[in-house]
Amino acid sequence: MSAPLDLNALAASSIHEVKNLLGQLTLSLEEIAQAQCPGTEQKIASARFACSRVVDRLTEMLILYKLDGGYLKPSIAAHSPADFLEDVMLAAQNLTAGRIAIRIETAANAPAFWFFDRDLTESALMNAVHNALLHARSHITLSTEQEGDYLLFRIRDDGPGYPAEVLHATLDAPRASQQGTGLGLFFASSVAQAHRNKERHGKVLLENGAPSGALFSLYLP
Amino acid sequence: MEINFAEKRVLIIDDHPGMRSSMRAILSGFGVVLIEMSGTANDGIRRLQAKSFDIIICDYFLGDSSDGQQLLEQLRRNNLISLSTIFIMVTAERVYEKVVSAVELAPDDYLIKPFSGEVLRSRLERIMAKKHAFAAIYNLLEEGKLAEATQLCKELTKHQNKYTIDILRLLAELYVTQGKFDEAQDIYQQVVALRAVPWARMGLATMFHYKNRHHEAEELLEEVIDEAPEYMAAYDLLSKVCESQEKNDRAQQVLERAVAASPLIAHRQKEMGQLAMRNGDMEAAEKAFETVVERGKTSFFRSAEDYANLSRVQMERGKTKEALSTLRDVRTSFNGSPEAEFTASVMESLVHKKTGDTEASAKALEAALAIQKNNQIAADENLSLDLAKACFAHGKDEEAKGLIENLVRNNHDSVALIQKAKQLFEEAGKGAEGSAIVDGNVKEIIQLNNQGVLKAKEGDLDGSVQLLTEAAEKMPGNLQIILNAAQALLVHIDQRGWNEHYMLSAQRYMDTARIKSATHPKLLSINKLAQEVTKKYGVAA
Repeated sequence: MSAPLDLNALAASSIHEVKNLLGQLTLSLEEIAQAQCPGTEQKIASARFACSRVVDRLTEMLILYKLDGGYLKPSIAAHSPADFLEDVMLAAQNLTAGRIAIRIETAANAPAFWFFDRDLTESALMNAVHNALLHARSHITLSTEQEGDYLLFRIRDDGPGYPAEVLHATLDAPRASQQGTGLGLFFASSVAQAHRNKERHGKVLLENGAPSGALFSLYLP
Repeated sequence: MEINFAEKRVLIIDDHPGMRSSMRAILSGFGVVLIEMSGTANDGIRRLQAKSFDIIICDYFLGDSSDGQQLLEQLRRNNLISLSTIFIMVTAERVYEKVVSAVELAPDDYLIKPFSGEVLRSRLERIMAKKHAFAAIYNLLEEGKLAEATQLCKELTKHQNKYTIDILRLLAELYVTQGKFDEAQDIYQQVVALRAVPWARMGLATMFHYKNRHHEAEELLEEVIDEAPEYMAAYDLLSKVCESQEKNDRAQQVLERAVAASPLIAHRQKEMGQLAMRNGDMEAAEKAFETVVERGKTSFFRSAEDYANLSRVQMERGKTKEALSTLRDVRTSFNGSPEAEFTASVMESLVHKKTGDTEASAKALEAALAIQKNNQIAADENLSLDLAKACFAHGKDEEAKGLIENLVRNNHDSVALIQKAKQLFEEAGKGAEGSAIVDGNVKEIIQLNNQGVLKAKEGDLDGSVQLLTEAAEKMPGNLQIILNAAQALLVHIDQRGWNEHYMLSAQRYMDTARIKSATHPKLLSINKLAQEVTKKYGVAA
């Protein structure tokens, strides 16, 4: 008798495999992009966007799978928030190929370094970036500042803003809703919660800006 | 920071051919022309030995035999890459993130696949800017100017910027290298107060250990392991801390957990083998040494000592056939280098003796003695003792005595060695004579030491320096002698005036002592004395 099939483990290893294949696909796209064939720029960018969204969704799945009923354990190290935001901007620019302008704002009070899990935070922010890129009309703004004892990252777009049901939903559990947005926000919120420092923990805030546009805020203690 | 990629030499190490060529394409896009690629860690090492590279991009998973972190540690420990070389780890998973936060030697950065060319470029530019900011420190370090580098680091921590934590970490490491454990501890505590990052807690635990505050070290390490069971270095240190408190079984259990989690790490298996042997757990010792030898076969860094360890434990367990086969392996594996031949001959002599083949045993001993006579062989303590044992077995009592005397004179304060030396005489049926010889040598060294110290006390500083430096030259392995010699030189400078030549000799003895035992309490007090003396004469602190 062979051992019973462990569907969970099987799913995790399949996700892994698919993710690695997508990694290679992304690199191949880079090579195609470097050939600079006229007229392909936008198509390559949307292929990248699709790949990136799939990879990010799979990454979230894997991380959430590893939660295993427990909580996320971030790998905390000191990073420069300004440098970090630049990385996020580069990743975002790579996905839009100039269709949407991406701005960066580093507040004067932004700290030189902060302790956080760079990769988890990037995954959380990229989710919001995907949403912003899908809904923005012409530009999105990434910003960082210090607010009290928290480091704050913000992503603002100039689109129609979050629909009411998203604004009022609780982020404590994943919602199986339109286009997986629910999972993404749940993931971002989990990442924020996992960052703890002296009894304080991180949080995610969703608002609609004035006059319009979605405003995603990630607070890290 | 703009990089002139056209003049950079880049090495890509990845076991996956597809990833190698994709990476190459990305780098070509930046304008890099000088690109080399390796599919294995060993091939990478060979290339790095042949020429230097500016940038190394290495995958964390390198197939079955090695991983990128092990490779990085080997490269840094063997000085195959300089401080200015950029090393970037590439990984498909978040696993490495956990690894990197606890390791002593971290890469300059790591990237999680997949990433775009732009992200790689931005990371490279950022590392370049950081290396630029650290360049003055690195230059001093590469010239061996530790004190000046430390001073500069201290200056740089005064103004907070994005490198502050990295500079603090480097400063703490520099203090540790110089035996300034209080200063290092302060810094680790300072960082832990900001955030309890694993490397700072590990650093703090290490300082506790060095300062013999074992209980605090143990508590802290247990906390670290509890929160992050994947931090292997914490197990290594906890095992040492347990052994320092003579909790030997617990020490072995702790190491066993780490070995089970990552069985491929050779240095830990070696520790495991030695610890198990000290604990008399020969089965565990054999298993561990077997793994070390097995790993060594595919690794660039290996030593004949590993084979000696394995054959020794095999012999202990009565597996003489296996022991002989291990020794045949060491010859072929090292292409008959004098060191390997010597190791094999010494051990063969003992194994043959055990099987009753006196003739083969005598022949092997002759071979060993001949090799030692004609070559500079750096034999470790155990192998020297084994050689003495073989000499006794064949009536070469004078040779045996000479070997043991030399060992004793260089380690007269090592209780374990003195015990082993006496035991050898005992087994050869010369217990009484042996005890007299061993004790006589120990006594002689102690007297020599005392005389040197006494002369200094009586004000004969010249006599003290002369006596102790002569002894230090004769017994360069004797920690106490060389430390006393260093002290005599420093006291001389302190009272009779600055003497550059004396200072250099003292530094040389302190460096030797530091390699042997960085945490020797006497070394710490001499360190302080050296600092005070340097300060007194206003020489660069």
